[in-house]
Amino acid sequence: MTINSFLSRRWLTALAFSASCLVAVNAQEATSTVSEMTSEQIQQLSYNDLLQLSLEDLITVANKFGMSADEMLEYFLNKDIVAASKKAEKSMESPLSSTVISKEQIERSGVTNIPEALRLAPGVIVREKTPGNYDVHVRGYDNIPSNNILTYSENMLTLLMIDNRPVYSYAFGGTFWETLPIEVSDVERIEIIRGPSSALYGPNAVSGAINIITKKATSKSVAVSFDNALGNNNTNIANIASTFGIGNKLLARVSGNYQWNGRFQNDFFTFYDSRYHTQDFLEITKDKDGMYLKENASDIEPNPRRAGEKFGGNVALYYPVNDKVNFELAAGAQKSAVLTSMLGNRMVPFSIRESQTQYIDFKANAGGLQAQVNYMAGDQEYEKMVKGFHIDLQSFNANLEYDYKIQNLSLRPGVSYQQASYDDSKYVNTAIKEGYLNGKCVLSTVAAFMRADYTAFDKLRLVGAVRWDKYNKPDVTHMTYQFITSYKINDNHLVRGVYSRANRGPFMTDTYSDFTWQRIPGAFNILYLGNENLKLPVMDMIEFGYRVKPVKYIQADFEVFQTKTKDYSWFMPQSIAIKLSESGKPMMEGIIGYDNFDMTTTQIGFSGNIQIAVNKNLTMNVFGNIQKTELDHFYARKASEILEEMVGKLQTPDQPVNNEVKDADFVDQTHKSTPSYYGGGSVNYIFKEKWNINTSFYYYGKQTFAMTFMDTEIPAKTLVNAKVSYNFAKENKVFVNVRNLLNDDSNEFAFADQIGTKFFAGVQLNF
Amino acid sequence: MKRLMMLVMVLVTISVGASAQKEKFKALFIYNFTKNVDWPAQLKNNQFVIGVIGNSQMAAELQTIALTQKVGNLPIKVVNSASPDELEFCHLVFLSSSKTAQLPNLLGKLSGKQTLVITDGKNLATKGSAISFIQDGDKLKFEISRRNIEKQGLKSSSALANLGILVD
Repeated sequence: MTINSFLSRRWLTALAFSASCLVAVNAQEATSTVSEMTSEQIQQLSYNDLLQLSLEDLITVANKFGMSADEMLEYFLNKDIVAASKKAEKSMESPLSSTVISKEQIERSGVTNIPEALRLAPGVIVREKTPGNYDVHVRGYDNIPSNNILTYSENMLTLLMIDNRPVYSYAFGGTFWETLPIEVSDVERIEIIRGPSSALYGPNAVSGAINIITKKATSKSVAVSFDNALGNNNTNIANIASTFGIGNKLLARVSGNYQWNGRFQNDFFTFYDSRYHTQDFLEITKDKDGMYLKENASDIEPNPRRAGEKFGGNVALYYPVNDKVNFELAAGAQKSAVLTSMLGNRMVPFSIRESQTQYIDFKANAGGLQAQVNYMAGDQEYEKMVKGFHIDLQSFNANLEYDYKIQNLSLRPGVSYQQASYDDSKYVNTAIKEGYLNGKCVLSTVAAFMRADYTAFDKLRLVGAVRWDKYNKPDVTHMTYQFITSYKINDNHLVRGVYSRANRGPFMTDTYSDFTWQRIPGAFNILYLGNENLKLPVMDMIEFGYRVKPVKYIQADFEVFQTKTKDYSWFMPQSIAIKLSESGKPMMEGIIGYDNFDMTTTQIGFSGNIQIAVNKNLTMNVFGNIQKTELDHFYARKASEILEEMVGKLQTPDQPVNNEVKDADFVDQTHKSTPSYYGGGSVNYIFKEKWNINTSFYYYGKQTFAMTFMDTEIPAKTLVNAKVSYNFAKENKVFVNVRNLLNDDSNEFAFADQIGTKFFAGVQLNF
Repeated sequence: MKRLMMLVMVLVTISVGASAQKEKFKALFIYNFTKNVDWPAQLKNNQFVIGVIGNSQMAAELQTIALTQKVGNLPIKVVNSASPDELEFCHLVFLSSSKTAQLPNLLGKLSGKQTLVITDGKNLATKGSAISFIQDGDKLKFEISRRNIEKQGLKSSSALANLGILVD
């Protein structure tokens, strides 16, 4: 993979997309009572509001905007958040459990990519699988069901969006973080909503929603930013962006990113003997069935030292027709290859996943009317070592909302359509069902929703949202809702409560799997079969929160929550039989299919976040979660044991063996696959306006990861990081950045890499 | 090679620094001033031209405003580092503090041409400019000379005089 090849067709396609346009309106009423507004309210005024002010009001605003020390503190502590209720508001006022990570926090902390940036927020569990590649869970719920395939380690319950465009994978669920076309240098802010919120955002916002807001050009003047960090293990991270104007009105931002992450080791974990071995060993060693552990690995994955490599390029255009009308168009492309564990082949769970995708995203606003349409296409190979998991994918989303205000009541009705189309027929022999889909499969959702937001006496806020999603598969309609209330005791105290329900959407494998795996060619085939009538997991939550500013330098946020989740899907061995092969010889054929089990998970938890701004130059925060997850009526048997047992019982060709599910196999137990405590904190100090010194830490408790072949314990870990940057001219900096200073090199994820200390040195230039 | 390509991309691109809060507000004020001046019914051409001398940051901020706003019904055009010939067509000229020495020369060229001259510095309204920004501690203020505005053939609103520091 080279820059040249990347810049060629895809990149030009993305640039060509950017030529088109449309119209939108953004109406914000300027207030005429500026003199009565607090500094906080004044800071909420948009640029358009400022343009409409009278001269007298403008003078008032200019004087209040003088950015006194107090106002700087306010700016640090109480950031704007849009995701929480779909309109800009201060995080102190947000009725949902939410956190904003700003671009300043990201830059100062030294995080090197987007999932690592999520370690700056409470409620997010972030573990590094291989250098630069992460597992991200909001409040846990990982590895459910346990004792099953590795896929269930993925986070299938959190909706990730870039500028409100959903970017999760429909294949197995989860997010392929390396396939995001953007990098931290493109991020304006990240908004994190904890708890079920699909009534606001649609399917998959079950344990939470993460919305990444990207940077846009704000002026016609030409500006360029560039940063490059070189690290140990040959790691290289580079980003470049330019903003400029085109013609009279068009504003543009063009950016590119590149990362190469190196491993600390060159060996891989294998279930063969539960140890790590080099590729040479895996290529020549056979398992008990006579199959190589990792056949031809050095041809397919030639560089065992590479954890991942990725490129991305984006163009974002903004066209304001006038102060009422504007539109945005973004397009981009990415290409990536990472060593990760989403599927995990039979004997070696970590393998290369490759992806190349392009997207186009269009947004328009018109008098409260907001429209967004986007399209993504590309191809992804989920596991290079296993044939049958390479697909072409397309997804399309359209969303239309209208914001209507009647005094203190704000109504927001809308409609939405989402469609994903996956097709593997180009890459496999469909006649022998070599692919997991063997053809084109489509999942779609039509939705209608309504949100009402009412404020009484400037203190009591009532928010209700309801959404109906009609799926094509399963053929059902899900209603999800959120009821939120907050009461502002005064400017420094706010209590809030949430009751909400959300559901996960369907995925391709659960629904359409039709794969014949030649477990032992000619002797044993296993059929993977989807289920078009699976129930979709549903989560209910009740949460109470309290926000307080005990003094103006401190803002604290506390929440307690309880969730109940049901209708998980399971990938379980169902039957085994002896059949005649095409050559007439008898062979075994097993069926593993998707089904629901009547299990409920109950989670209770507490979360706290305290931010302190001692002065303009010294800011700090600390946060943490404590939680407990219980499984009620959990089917505890390991899939591999069931399969082995059925093989043992198989005696005659005319008597297939079915898995007998017995009451005794169901247990109630505490779920140990997710940490019971985790959190972090940071201190940032600006010295003589030239130096920035940032130290941060992130920790999580131990977990036991249980999958079909074996269990493994992930030890507790505390990561300490530091970044020091020196501003040598205007916004130009040099920096050193150390991640995991304590050099605790334990693996953070099951069967994964050691993650030791990473050192970086680099420059950040702005012209 | 990859890094070299990126560095080349940086070096070939012209650049301007990030916008400062103060410049943003001064640009907002300048736009606001245009709403507080009676412009002649017949303007010089079909657009409202703002000339900026010596402050490309200010020009960029004004251009941002020009993207969405109009003066009366006319679209705004911002001319950075306006040449003497171009000054003829400007309705408003902003002279930055670093170019204050050019004020007498500028006034000579624009005499009676219905152009609002705005400067940036203390006591400049007494030296011929119509409006001049002054920084008073954290506060942004402006001096105003009604006589100089009228001398240029323009009229200002009473709000402008009431809210500024009247020098005559």
